[in-house]
Amino acid sequence: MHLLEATDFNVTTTPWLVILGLCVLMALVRLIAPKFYSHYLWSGDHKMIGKQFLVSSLLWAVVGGALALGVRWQLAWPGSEVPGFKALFGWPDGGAAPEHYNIMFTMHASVMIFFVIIPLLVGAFGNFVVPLQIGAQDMAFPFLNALSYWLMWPAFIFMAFSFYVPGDGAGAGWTSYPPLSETMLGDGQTLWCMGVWFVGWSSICGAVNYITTIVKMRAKGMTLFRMPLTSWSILITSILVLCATPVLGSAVTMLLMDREFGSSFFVPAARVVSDAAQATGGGQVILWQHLFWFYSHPAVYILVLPAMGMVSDMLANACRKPVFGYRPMVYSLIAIAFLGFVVWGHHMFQSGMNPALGRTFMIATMMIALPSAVKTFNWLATIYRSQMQLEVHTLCSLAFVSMWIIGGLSGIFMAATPVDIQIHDTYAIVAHIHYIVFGSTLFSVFGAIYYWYPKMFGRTMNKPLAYTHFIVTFVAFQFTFFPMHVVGSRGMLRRTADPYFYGNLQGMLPVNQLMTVAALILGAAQLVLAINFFWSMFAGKVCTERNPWKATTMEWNTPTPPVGHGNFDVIPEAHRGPYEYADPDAAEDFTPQFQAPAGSAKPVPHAH
Amino acid sequence: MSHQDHAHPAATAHAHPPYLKVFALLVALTVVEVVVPFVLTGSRGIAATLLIVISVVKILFIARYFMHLKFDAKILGLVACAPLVCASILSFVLLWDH
Amino acid sequence: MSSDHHALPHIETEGNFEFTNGKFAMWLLIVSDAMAFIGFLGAYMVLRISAVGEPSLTGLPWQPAWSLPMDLILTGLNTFVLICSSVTMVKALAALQDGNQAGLKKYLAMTMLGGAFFVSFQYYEWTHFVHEGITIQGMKLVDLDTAMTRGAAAGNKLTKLEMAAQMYGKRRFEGTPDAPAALPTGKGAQDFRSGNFTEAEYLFLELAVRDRANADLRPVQGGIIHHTAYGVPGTTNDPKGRTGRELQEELEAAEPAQRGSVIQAHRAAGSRVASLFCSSFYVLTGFHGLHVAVGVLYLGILLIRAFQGAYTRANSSIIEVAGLYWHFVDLVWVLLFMLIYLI
Ligand code: HEM
Ligand SMILES: [Cu+2]
Repeated sequence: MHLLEATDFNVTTTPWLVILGLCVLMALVRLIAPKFYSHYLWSGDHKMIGKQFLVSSLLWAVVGGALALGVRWQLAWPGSEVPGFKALFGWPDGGAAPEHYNIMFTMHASVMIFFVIIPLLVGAFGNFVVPLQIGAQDMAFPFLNALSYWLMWPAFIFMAFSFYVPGDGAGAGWTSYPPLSETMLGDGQTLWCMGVWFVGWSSICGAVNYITTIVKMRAKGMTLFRMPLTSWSILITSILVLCATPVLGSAVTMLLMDREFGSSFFVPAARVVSDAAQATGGGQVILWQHLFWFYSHPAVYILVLPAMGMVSDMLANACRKPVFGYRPMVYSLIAIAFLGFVVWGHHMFQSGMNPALGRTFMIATMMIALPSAVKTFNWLATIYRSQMQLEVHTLCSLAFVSMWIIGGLSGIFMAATPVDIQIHDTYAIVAHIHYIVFGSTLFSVFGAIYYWYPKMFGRTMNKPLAYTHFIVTFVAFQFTFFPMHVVGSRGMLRRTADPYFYGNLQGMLPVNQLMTVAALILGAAQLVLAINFFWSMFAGKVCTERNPWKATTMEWNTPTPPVGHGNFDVIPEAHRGPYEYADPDAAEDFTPQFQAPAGSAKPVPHAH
Repeated sequence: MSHQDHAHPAATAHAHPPYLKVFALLVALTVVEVVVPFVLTGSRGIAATLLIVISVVKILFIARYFMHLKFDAKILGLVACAPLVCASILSFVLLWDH
Repeated sequence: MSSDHHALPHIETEGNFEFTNGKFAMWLLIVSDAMAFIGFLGAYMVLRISAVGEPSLTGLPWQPAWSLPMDLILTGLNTFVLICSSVTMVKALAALQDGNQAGLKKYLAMTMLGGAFFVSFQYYEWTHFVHEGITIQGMKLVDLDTAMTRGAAAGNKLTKLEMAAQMYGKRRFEGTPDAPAALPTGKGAQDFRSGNFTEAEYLFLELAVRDRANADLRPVQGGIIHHTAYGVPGTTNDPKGRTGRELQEELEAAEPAQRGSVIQAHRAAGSRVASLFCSSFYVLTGFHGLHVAVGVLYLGILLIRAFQGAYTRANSSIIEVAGLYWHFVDLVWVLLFMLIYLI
């Protein structure tokens, strides 16, 4: 059939070969070392898959982080070679050329969003914590779970190869707006699409699994409103993933069709950019933006809801108080998720979209501030007058709450169309993103690592190193990202290789150098985490205590680390709500969910 | 449209939903659909409305009888509605902005 | 009923719904699959609605079925086959629930055959289209007479003049007081109205200024069509034909009287124009066809297992879950058939 006529599918074969090689390698390992294979590689055990996600995402974060430093390097010393990038990516200019700058920021965001934050939150902690918290033996579908992890590798291979194929890599931004993404020469952009496609499948497999597990496999007594907030947030996030990701899948498929087979969904009429040998037609570029943001706004909540859940659990534990307003916390999660589907247009105020729609989206976006504020005030009320234990996960949770306030507030400003006209596509947006995704989400992930590490590996992480890591990261973070608000509102453009080309931005060079130096320190501080993480895995202080943090939720009722498939050595049953801290009647100051009421076998209903 | 009581397709010897009647209805509606563009050539608007209504009816019958939503737990129906909500939001915006 | 783990303590579950994990998960998968279709269909709707009223070289800006070599009756029959396979699927489940193993195998096999027939027909339709020069990129230029014949075969009642206006843009054959139209020799407005004209004669006329909602005045262009937003001749990277873009340029350069021959030369050379209809047609039917093909494989596996006697009343939900997928694919086809072929 000549459907494809003359435009043969020209993605270089290498990534496919590498993926094939990976499969062959796995098969070999399965033959030679079946135990190793079924324990460390294709394991159906949610705890192992969680750890696989955790370790891989931390590795991928190195790639994303290096690219971020490349971007910052160019902004501080424009036109100079980024150390190491010549060797790393084979760029003769070492990342100084504008097209390589584009590739750096594109791939930084893509790697961080698709390969670090989403897998860390949903893949790693969702997997490890949720079945334990709800008292299930495993996830509903162990095979699907393993598949969800292993789909990440083809995805990453595609993304990684985009740097090395002939022509340039993917440089149309993580948003990949056409017509640029249509006319990018070379196969890099195509490989980017393939990568996103595979990530999407991975997310969907995960989401189906989480929802089924939570709906069907909660232990006796674990009613929905006795579920800890981490599990709640993973449930809600999975619903977002389930409904939003496929739309990105179809948009990316259409983009791929446009690029490779000459269809014209997003190709504007009679437009041939850079003499690209693509068919041109009468498609719509704004259509891509709608479909993309229909996924990606819910996706930014995918990037933060699980963090909210984890912080709620950690804060209650650290403050030795029940989470203030447990039910409102749940309802606001649901409200944020729902509203998340009706606000995507706030990314498109300047796109030439119907202005009436802009107004609608503006109001909808501002409404999200309500449930967000409910959560914020509930956290503050949880903290208020508590006997806070200053563990590292406490500090990280506090960082989450405060950075969330800053990022959320800048969000509300940007939601106002008139303000957004000034700051759209400037560094103010970059500041907003990073206050939320780094300041909130990543700090909560740091906290979660410190908090659940003993349960995962049966060892504790080194405390002095952990405090050092937190403090340096926190301070360097402020210096890296806070000035972006300022330069952004003064008009410094994002995604511009050499912004000092514009006279009015020339004065901003010193501030940018300051931010870059801070960013370098920020990057270096992560080495401390890496060392602590891997060193403690083998040489950390052994922890066999079931409940080292004196926590109330179900995962602390398992052996440390939990026994293989099956998790529990006792029959898990929830007898009360998840946050019975500061209980005056308890022997200690808390009553775990799993503790049967004294003297009676009947679970006592508990209102919160 | 109530018919014989039907609890759940796991019970012992039980009556099945009226599959063949639904099938006949689907076929009849398809015939009407194919005929409509030939007959209602004058007014595309009326033809389109009619076609959409017929499809919705067909879809409802497939989902309720063949996919057992009529007899299943409510939560499955709720799940099935999720894409409808998303679809209406998306098409509302897309059509407003075309 | 949920898990058959051999592991430590037996865990009672709280969320004790009657359905199995598999059934619930299939519903979730259906939700996400539906969202993928919604993405494609949303694009289809927007592109199509935006194209209404835009002139195009290929028949209509948004080719409805009758401007294409589609055969509605055949596709209708194919739809019928898919519906049949849906009812045999529920019959298979019912047979299993009644303990009728022979019926299970019979109906499963029929379902699978129905699906296979459907995909084969789709394959036939695609090859037929490709043969006619219709690919995912666009289609060959269609001449006025072919469009008229196809339209008539499908019961469309456009007059020749209306059809020409839709294909080549509305032209001035009467002239206005200040700018009398230069009609081709021997032709009067009357002749045009009665359809007594050739394509070349029609193309000879000036393009009328389109007045959209009194605001969107488009300049009169010498060529066939101005760069309107949609349905513009595009380039194709088809090495055999010259590109639609070349066509556009040549038309703009040509004397009015030469335009007909320019078009004819291009048609002979197999020039093609980009078409959003073609893009979405192949992507939508392809995505759906893929689902049917996957379903046929799925059913094939079930059938083999059924012959091994793997299914009993107790695990009938495996068949039910497969049925959910199959009916969903059927359900999507109801939508696609209506949106692509009928409306
Ligand atoms: C109170 C809640 C929030 C509001 C009102 C809000 C509002 C906005 C607005 C209006 C924009 C578009 C600015 C522009 O491009 O001109 C934006 C961008 C962005 N927001 Fe938020 N936001 C909120 C929370 C979040 C959260 C929780 C996240 C992520 C976890 C997030 C991540 C992002 C990202 C990544 C972008 C930039 C996307 C890009 O253009 O690359 N936001 N936000
Ligand atoms: Cu947003």
